[in-house]
Amino acid sequence: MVALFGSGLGLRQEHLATLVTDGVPDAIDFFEIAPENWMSHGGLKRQHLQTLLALRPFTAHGLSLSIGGSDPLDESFLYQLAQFLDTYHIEQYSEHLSWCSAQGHLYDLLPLPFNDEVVEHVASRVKRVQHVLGRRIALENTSFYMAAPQSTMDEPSFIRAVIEQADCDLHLDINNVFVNSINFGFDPYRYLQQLPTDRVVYLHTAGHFRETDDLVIDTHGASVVEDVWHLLAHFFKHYGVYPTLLERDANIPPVADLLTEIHRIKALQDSAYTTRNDVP
Amino acid sequence: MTPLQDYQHAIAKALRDGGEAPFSLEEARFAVYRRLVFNNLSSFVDQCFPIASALLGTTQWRHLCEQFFRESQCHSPLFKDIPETFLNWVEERPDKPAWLHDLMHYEWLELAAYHHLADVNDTLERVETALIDEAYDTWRVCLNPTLQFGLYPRPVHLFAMGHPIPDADGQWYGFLVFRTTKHEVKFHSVNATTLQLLQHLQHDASVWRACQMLSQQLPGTSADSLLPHTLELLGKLMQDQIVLGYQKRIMAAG
Repeated sequence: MVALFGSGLGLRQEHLATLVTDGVPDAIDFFEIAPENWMSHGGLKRQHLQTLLALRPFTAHGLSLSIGGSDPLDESFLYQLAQFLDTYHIEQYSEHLSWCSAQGHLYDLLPLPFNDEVVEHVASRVKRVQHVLGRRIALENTSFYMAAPQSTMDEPSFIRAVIEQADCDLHLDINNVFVNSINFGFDPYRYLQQLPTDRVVYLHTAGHFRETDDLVIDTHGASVVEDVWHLLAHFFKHYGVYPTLLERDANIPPVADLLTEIHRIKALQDSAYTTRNDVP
Repeated sequence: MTPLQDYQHAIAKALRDGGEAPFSLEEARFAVYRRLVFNNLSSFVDQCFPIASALLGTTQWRHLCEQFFRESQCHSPLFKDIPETFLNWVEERPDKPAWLHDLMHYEWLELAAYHHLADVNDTLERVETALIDEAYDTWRVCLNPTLQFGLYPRPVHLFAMGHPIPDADGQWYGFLVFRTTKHEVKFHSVNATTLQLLQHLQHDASVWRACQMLSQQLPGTSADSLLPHTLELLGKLMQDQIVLGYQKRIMAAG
């Protein structure tokens, strides 16, 4: 397995031609793809993907597995996914700790009730997924706009319980922590304290849209805001420096315009390394 | 039903049919999901059917999308399958305009050929470009693996904004849509007989077998009489990369 390090970029079809023609900028250490958007696509898109796979490590971040859904797990999709990951030697796979289907797909990520029944349900599905894929997977904390009813615990406790019971890893999205802290009015720094940060494999950061004072929509359509940079720097400093990826999925600018943010991730990582190594 | 199923079915139902937010959820927040889910779904549909949506008009098209979302079940986890699910749903609608499904199918062919997983270059490397020893009966014809067929009772390729919608005129309009070795999607207009021939060849047939099957559909012809025309046609189709070549048939072990 190729160990992840440094800063990554969520790969978009819009960037393929530039990256293949001009080469991958040094600042981009790894790429991430949503397997659902690549696994059944041939032609030029597949050819470009193969070119880039030879140049950088890749991670896969799923959208449609509906790990928290109550429709039966889509086994045929799971086997296709396993084949895709194996064919392209993509070791790291994560999914959202949410659900996206009920008697058919809704193609969006919806909030789960945080309670013991759901912990058990999700954990057993994660175990099945890990068995079929033949690898540990990670779950990502998801951004939400409403709280599901029937919750008996807070989100960090829920995340911890699922991750411990399923014995899987945590894919921590720093922007989602911030988005939820506004949407549900909590302290994001205290939230981080409660997470099983020893299970983190890599981080996400992204921009969002502030619709009102107390509502943030997680668009991935703008630059990362200062509050999220602060939270990321804080995370590196207190919990360790992890590979970190920038997601940009709407209003997509040229790759060159995203490099400032990629460099900033690196600078924060470097500075945290220095600080952490100074500690006796 | 478990409480989780109960919750998810109620949320999904309210999102699909626009009903009241369940479980006393705050409508303003639930509305964010209504908007995100519908806009996401319709963006995939809009992208695939630019002419059909424009000709139907914004209001009617949106109404159709809403109805699709309410009534259909999308079972594919892949976003690229949303337009096909929509297309199949439209086909079953009894009240649709007669032209709508034909035009949408024609538009969808482009997406189907563009995303097709087959590797055209790879197939081309594995075939012979000519039949050896006049092996009409033993070699099979290799079509472009991305090839899609369309056959419509109206000239779907002439539909455009600002023009009256052409009626069915008693003729059939055939189309071949495929991806080239340079990854471009091409549309070729063909007659119904060419289309039938290629459909026979698609199922692993030799030139001779395809001529036999075609002769059964065309009164007054025989496989013998069709053979020279077919060979000439295949030569032309090869130049366009619709046919890629010939391959010696591998007999299944008995």
